[in-house]
Amino acid sequence: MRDGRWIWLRLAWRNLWRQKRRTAIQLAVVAGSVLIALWYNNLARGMYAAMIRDGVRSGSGHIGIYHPNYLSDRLVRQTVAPDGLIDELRKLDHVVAVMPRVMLPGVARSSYELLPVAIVGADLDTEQAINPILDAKRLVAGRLPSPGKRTVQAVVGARFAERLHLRVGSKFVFNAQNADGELIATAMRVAGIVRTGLQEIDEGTLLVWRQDAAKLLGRPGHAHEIAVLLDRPNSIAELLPEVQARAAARGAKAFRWEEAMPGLASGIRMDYAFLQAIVFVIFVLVAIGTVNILVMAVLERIREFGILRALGMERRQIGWLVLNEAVLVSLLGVAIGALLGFAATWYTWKYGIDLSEMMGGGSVEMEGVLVEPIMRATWDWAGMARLTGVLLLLSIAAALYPLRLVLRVGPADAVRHY
Amino acid sequence: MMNNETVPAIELSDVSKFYQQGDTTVHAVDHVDLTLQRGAFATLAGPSGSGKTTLLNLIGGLDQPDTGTIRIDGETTTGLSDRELTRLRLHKIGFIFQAYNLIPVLTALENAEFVLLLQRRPADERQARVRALFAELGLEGLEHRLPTQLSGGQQQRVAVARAVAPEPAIVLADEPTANLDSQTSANLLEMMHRLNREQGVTFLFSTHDPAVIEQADRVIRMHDGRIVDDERR
Ligand SMILES: Nc1ncnc2c1ncn2[C@@H]1O[C@H](COP(=O)(O)OP(=O)(O)OP(=O)(O)O)[C@@H](O)[C@H]1O
Ligand SMILES: [Mg+2]
Repeated sequence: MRDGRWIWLRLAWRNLWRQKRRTAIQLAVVAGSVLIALWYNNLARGMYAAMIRDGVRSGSGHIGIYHPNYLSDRLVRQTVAPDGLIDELRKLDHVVAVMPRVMLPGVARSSYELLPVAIVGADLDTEQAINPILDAKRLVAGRLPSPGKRTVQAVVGARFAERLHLRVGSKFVFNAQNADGELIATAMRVAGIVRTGLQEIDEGTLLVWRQDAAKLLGRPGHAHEIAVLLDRPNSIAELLPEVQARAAARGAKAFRWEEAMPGLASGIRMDYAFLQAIVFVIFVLVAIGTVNILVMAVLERIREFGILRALGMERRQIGWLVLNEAVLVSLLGVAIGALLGFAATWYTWKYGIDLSEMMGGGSVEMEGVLVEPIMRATWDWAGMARLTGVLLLLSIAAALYPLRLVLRVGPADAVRHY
Repeated sequence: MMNNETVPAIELSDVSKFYQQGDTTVHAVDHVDLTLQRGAFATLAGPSGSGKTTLLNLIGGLDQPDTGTIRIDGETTTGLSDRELTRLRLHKIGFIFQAYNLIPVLTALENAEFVLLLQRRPADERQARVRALFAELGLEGLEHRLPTQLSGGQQQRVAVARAVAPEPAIVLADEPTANLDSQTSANLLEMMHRLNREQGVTFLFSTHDPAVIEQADRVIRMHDGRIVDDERR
């Protein structure tokens, strides 16, 4: 100690390694909890990002345009007349794709069975590259239909085909009420069959060309949903006013995906709240453990502190020493944990964790969204900073009670025998 | 440092300390008057329970008396706040405890300069002072050992160096040789006595050991909390 300046820190540092095992345990506990918290957070965030990515592709887009009441009423007559809106939107910055869709619920019937279904009319050429439902690997038979055939061609779900005993090329009948309330019945032909693992798609959805669906609806050119896909979620705020203005000019309304797909949004919110609760419980346990370890460490050294007091050290100097020790362990543990958390995040960010074995192959359904069975972490810097900050604060707060014990030590404790 | 010829190192007048034990009051220290001049080499002797430790703790400001006043180097310690008392200990009193004196994570040298460090003395002064004392006390070559790597006698010598280094008004030692064998304790006493003669360090120590009492220039005998004999040689 040639130099007195860093004496507290150096004393604290050396004191840490007096009880190597205890300090190692404490470090492991703090580092382990930070590792778990950071990694868990980044994996979950990565999963949410995947759910949103796939959800907006098969659903509302980042921004969805609807008849103002369509999302609550879902009436077939609540359509939007795009009138050039689609081309306008496609020209905007940040817009990756615009996917207008027609929805027409009804009943499908073969000679074997009758099933409630919904027609989704879409620009199948555009959607093929974007919508995970139309991914080529899910098309188990046939191919995408061609538009404008005399008998409307549809891509149907595999369960639907089984229950109605249909194959590629088979015909069935579709009954519905059109936008004017008139009953319609039309023959349709199976062009392709998809298997997604989503009950709603595999049993209850018929994919057809948009113009075919609009004709059945009785509103040529109209759509119920115009899904606007952006380059990234952060562009929503920037683009929403622009899109909103253009939608309003046609008597329609633009919604963020969270409003258009509240189930997905609240599912993610609840999952994240659950994660935070778990991490918080872990952190509290770590803090309680830290209090215990520190109290033990302090009680063992009452005599030593008494001698320091007798030699002329002030209460607050000894308190400062112990605080230095506690902060040092916390910082070290958090630093180790953060490094491990980075490493784990990096690995799962780069390579991902393939869950397809565990999930029995194919895709995973989460909150009604098809997600690739590869978990990939993302770098949630703000979340990581928050989590490490909270743990640091907690473990320093955990030093306060032992600190109170230390501050009570008087010089007479140097000569008392324990 | 100017009037230390006239001001005694310690002055006690009418100092008492009582402990309540059940129904009876133990008069651990019972109305004691005592003056010790600078440069003294005095011992507190007396049977077990006679009040030696209690008296040393009162003088050292580790405890507060129930009656009387204590002056260290002319400064009254009774009624001082915890902080003022801490400052007084830091600057005027050296302590040597019976055992486990040293801070386990500091080397011999670091232990010896610890009080100087608390006093914020400059590094070169600390070094010079402690090196000289290590030479005096035969501790050369042990500077960088940790306390666990030192014998009991060596540990006590480091404690002596630490107590003496800041040149306090008085060094208090409660049975400093109690855990040492007779040869080692004779050695330690000899070194303390030499520091007393050559550097004028004032010592007050307690002991049971007749061989140690033999070394002292002044023997203060206690019994039941009272001073019963005060012999100067
Ligand atoms: N904290 C205390 N509480 C109650 N009684 C005490 C306390 N400290 C000392 N005493 C009593 O005061 C008396 C003096 O004790 P003290 O320790 O000063 O004696 P001593 O001369 O140092 O004895 P020894 O030679 O055994 O160290 C004893 O009767 C002891 O029991
Ligand atoms: Mg005693």
